[in-house]
Amino acid sequence: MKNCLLIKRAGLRCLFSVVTLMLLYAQVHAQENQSYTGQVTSAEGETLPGVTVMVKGTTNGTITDMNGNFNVKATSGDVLTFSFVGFLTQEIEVGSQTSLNVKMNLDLKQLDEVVVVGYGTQKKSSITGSVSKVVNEDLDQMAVSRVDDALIGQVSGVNIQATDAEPGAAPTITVRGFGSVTADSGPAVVVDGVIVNSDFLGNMNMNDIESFEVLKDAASAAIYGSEGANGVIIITTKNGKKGKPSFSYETFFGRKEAFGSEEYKKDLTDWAELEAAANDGQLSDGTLQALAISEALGGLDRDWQDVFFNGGNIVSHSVSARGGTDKTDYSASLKYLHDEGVVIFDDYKLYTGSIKINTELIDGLKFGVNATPSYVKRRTLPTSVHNPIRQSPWLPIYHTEESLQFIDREEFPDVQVGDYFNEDHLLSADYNGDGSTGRARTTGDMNPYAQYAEREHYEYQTNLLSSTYLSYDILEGLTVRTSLGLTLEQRKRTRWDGTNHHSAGNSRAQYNLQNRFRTRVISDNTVSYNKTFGDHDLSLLGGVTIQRRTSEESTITGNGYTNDLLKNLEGATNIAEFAEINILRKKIGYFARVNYAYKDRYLFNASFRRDGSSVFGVDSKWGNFPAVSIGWNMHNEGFLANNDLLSIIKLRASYGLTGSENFSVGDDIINTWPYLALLQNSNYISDNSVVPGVSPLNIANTLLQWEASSELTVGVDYGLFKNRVTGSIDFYRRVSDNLLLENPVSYVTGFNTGIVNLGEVENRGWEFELRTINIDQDPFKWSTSFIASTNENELTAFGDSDGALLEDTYGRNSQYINLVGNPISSFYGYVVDRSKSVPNEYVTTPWQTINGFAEDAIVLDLNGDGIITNEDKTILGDPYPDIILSITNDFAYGPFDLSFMVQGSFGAEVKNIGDQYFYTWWQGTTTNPQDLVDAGIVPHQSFLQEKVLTDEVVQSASYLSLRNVNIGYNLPKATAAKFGLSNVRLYVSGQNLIYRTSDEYSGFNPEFIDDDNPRKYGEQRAGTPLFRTMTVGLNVNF
Amino acid sequence: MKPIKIMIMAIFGLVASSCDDEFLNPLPDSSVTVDAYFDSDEDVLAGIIGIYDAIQGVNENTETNDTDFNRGVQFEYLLTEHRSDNTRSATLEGSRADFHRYIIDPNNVQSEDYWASMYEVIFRANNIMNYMDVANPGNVAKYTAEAKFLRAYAYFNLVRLYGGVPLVTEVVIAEETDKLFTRASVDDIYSQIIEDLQEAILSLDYSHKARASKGAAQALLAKVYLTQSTPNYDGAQQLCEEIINSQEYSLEDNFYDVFYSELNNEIIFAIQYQSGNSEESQGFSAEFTSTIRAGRQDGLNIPENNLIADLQAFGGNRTDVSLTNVLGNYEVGKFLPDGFDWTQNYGTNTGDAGNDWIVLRYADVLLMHVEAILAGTPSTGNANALSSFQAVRNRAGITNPVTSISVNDLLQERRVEFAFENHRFFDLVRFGVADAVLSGYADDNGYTFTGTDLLLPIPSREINLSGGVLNQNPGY
Repeated sequence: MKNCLLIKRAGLRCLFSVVTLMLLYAQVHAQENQSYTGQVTSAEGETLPGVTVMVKGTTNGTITDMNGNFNVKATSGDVLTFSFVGFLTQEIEVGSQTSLNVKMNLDLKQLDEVVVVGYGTQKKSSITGSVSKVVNEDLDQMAVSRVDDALIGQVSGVNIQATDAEPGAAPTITVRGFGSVTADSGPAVVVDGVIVNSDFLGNMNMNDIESFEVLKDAASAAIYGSEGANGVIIITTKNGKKGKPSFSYETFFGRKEAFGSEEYKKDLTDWAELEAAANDGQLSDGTLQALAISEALGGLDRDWQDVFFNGGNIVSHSVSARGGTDKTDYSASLKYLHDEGVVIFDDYKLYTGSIKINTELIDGLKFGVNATPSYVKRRTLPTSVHNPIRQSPWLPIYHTEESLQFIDREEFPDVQVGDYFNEDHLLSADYNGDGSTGRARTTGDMNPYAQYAEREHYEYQTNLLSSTYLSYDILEGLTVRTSLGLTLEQRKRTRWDGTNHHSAGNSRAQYNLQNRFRTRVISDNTVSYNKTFGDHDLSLLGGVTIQRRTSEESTITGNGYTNDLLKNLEGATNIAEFAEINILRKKIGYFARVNYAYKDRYLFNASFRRDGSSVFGVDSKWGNFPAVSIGWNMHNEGFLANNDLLSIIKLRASYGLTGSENFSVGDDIINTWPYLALLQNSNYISDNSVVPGVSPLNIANTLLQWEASSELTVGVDYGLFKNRVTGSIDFYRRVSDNLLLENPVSYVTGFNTGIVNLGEVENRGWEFELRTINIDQDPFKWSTSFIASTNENELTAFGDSDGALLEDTYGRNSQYINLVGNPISSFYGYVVDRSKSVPNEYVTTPWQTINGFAEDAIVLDLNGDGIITNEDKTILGDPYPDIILSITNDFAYGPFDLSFMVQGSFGAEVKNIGDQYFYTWWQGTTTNPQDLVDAGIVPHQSFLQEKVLTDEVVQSASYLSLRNVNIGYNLPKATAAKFGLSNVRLYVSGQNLIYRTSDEYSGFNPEFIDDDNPRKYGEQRAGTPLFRTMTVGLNVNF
Repeated sequence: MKPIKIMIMAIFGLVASSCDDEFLNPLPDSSVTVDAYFDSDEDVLAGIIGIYDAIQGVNENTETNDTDFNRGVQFEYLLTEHRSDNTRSATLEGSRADFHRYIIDPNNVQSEDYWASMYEVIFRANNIMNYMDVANPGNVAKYTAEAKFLRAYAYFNLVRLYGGVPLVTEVVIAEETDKLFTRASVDDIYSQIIEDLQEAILSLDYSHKARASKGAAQALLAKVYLTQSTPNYDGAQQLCEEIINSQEYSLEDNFYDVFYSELNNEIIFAIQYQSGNSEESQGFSAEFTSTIRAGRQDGLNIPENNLIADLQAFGGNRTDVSLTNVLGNYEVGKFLPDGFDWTQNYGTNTGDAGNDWIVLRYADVLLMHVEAILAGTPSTGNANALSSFQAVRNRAGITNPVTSISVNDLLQERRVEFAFENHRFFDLVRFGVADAVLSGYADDNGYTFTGTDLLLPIPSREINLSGGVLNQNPGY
């Protein structure tokens, strides 16, 4: 509970929990006109300045000072009343005891969190949309490298999926489902009022963050207009507080270990035994060779998962100083984080600082500046882990004297001890000793270890997020504010593939350098007016926002390296590729909002935004985004007054329109200027030299317009038993219309696709939040929160493209379909006939017989026409979870506390191609389909289909995890004070201590997605592994 | 009230400055708009060059493995050699392995890519003809001829592979569904091809080998005459003789040099590539390799045993150039990446090799000459035919004099001369023996071949987009 800290802030923000009343009664003594002194504190012991202390029935009284102390004259038997906004008024009869320490308890009726909404704040009680707030209580005690990683399971309706488990890699965040077929469905991110690229979530210091607010419904997000179509995450950073500077030092050290895959763990013996079992006790030549090699090399039998998933440490240090005077507050922090990742050679280092100053220059004129510079150095994985993991258990990394004797010296005269061992080196080896040569080989093109060790892929980011504002209170309640947000992102990416990373040596060495510089300048200018007239609360907002974004990206690739001495362009002898793409986007938005509440019972909220964007042509530049919402605080009605059972009951309904100008077509130029007909370079070689050519790049669409989402939300907020039980239930239905997408056009036009507004996607679902205080019997406390969300995604219209198959990678035919009535980009393919399998005698490559796996499966003839065609394909699943939920329990016993979160996701599927890679040797497959026809096993060759095209690779991605556990000990304040410290906390925490996937899932991470483009969403090649983290941490305040 | 004045001024200043028309209409600076571009002769030439780029295709090894890219001629071996009795894929992995088994799905990625590439050629050709008014008047005929040659080349490939396809000779937009989805008759397509090539012959000269030339247009037209449903043998013979008599081309003495000496005397039309240049290189050379992994994909063009046997029996000195023995396995010896074999790790730019793709070469003209003289008869002893035939064989080191040439002799000669050059499938069809040869071949190898397999499926994507207007080839 962090009430204590929050209450200190002027304005009494964020009072949100229930505490029990602890009173110290004074003994009654009859005595005349005595001075009673004492200190007023909150239930948590925070001193409360400004509390009004009155002798009841008189006008005598005082106000507590900065330290919460008071001194008041009264007569024994008098009653003192202590009152303070946000707290229950207390009455104490005084007696002989003249020294009083008073603890004040929160007023549940005024349980009024202030919630940050677009361009302002609102009392929680008057919120009419779906806004969830997460206060940073102990999120900073999770050993994760990004702030968004810590939000998993914290907010209903928000799915955060570890789609890339490398350290520092962004998870995929979706608010209320995927609304777009081709665009990024991630929410907008706003930091202290400034819209930033979501990348910044990886550059912030969790210790700086006060709270997250998520605007989930369109009515709340509509004030952001074209930024708000996928929800908005608002991050508020901490301000300094009036008084002495307070310092903090926070650190943790953690150990991360990967969850491997038992399924993919096959040692030499397994390999031989499984094959023998499947093959009448016989081993194939390939296996015999492998056994012989292993024996010759001294019995080498390694699990490559052990080599590649080597675990890693994560360590973080963060210091901050915060404080303030009457007119000025300040906050500064520094953080260092190093996450070694769990896969060999991945690494992430973050250095980030922040400085924030607010000051009142003259009465009513406020000024503030905020800057967050950061530097990130990341080493990223050069390739998906599926490849190294499917290597033979006998394969050494380096050559030894023993292994060298197998090499044909005529073919490989230069290989020596310490060089990478390549399967190809054994091409003419007689390892059976029987004079026969041959190969036992998996992929063979490069040593798996070299594939990682000799490819150094780094990313360096230098980012700055900054904002300044000036605000002036013209009259009471009338404020003008102007702010300028500036974000700069410089990213340098280097990809060095060394001369030894591939068996082909120097010819494969190359270096790719990519520089990207992005800026975003936003000027927000608002006028706001807040006033209470008797029973009427009114607030008005009007404003204009202007935005300019640039991205300048250049890339250059050099090759022709003959050694590894200069791992950059200086070592190159040839420039193989270069390109530069500059984009510029501009936007203007006008907005207005009115909030009105009558007697805090009837709430009305309406907003309107008009956005113009440079992305659209002259006739369709502007889009309008209105929203309206209403609420009824039923508990404030007379008939529910002082109802002990129902303390809060609020009904809400909202409807709003948001928009999007974003779409991804793999070419930044086209999606920045889709209305212009552009040319591309189309050079050719003639007479042995390059001759310049051009060709049309795109189909210009001058009619292209905003993608629009309309959303209806109805909800209820409730509080029961004096708010020991609180929560909310929401239902939403969001229709995303006029989707901006790359629509296939006939190739006869000369193009593959054109960008159009087409189609409609509906997302609907329920969201439940339930928070209970189960036990509150000092010193023991136990509270629980339960969060669950459902989501159903449906393509409701797709024009001519209904039923369109989508392109797929890996050189196979389409495996996705957009079919009205089903989720967008559903998996599409054949259904395996489980009653049949390809008999082993028709499969001759050893790996393929393990566990009966074969590359081909026999599929069902769904339409019964005796032949397998496209007509026999069907929808096999979709990658969107139906239900996500989390249950968090918090326990406190005196100075000890424990909290744990169980979090899960259910109903999503993933297309795990990992099996295909793991169980298939890429060469030498000899299955002959006609043999099976001749043997009467299948009626036609077409019944044999690659498993990768069937439901065999579509696996449940459901999981249930013990996502987070935190056990802490807070040093008693008195003890801490002896060391000059105000607060000391020691904790141990763990993430993913238990992580259960469905039995059918065989890969390393069911959340992993290879490509987050919605058209190929849900496909993985076993994935970068999930991991568990064990952490110890220390927080010190002084 | 000073601060408020400043603020209000600041706000309104910003708003005012941002509201002019220019603010929301920035122009790109790393791409050129069509409107701003075409205004000189050089610009039109650049547009012509852009057509070749579409045939050249995007190298899969150096670009992301995304099917949005058109691979141009780089996938052609799958659609042609694989469907003949010449080659197959080493594995059954992916849709590349469907061609040699005659189980091509209408949804096939590579077939669709080739279709798209050919229509990209046609579109770029049609498009640039709209800008001829800014070219130098003296160049208009030449540029137009070049565009029409390339359009004819694309239609000739399409009509042979897919049958009657939509015929467009101007830029069509996505809304003109009639034009996009109406299949023209095979005869109409041939008429258009012939018209375009005849025009090209009139305006082109011999100044290029990697671009359209008079010789290329003549040779292509000769092949068109031989291929069309009612062959024009006289026309073909005449064209071949014009090429022979022009003395612009000659056989290379050494068969090896045909493939490893770029733009040599024998080349009439080749698509050029540049080694090590990711934008201008090709991936098929790496794909033809197998034993030592060389490219992103490989083992995709493995010689069939009966081709190996034919080469060994009838190839002469062509056999050692056409095949390379890798540890006891025969692989394609033509187009080795930049000329490097597996013992040399296939050179330094394996995946982005610079070997040119030979579309038309002089030996083809000589053998077409024989074919034209045969004119559908079973055999010939015509001296001119014998002379052309002998020239090809002499170069192969098979110098025994030929006195009579049968259709089978010619077909076999073509097979060993042009192995792996994507001729075999078209030759079998043109000679009318595709059904018989491929049925036998399929039986021997456990594949199922039927007559309808001679045409590829129209990409199902096009059929879907047409709303069923475009009809599929039989058998799919």
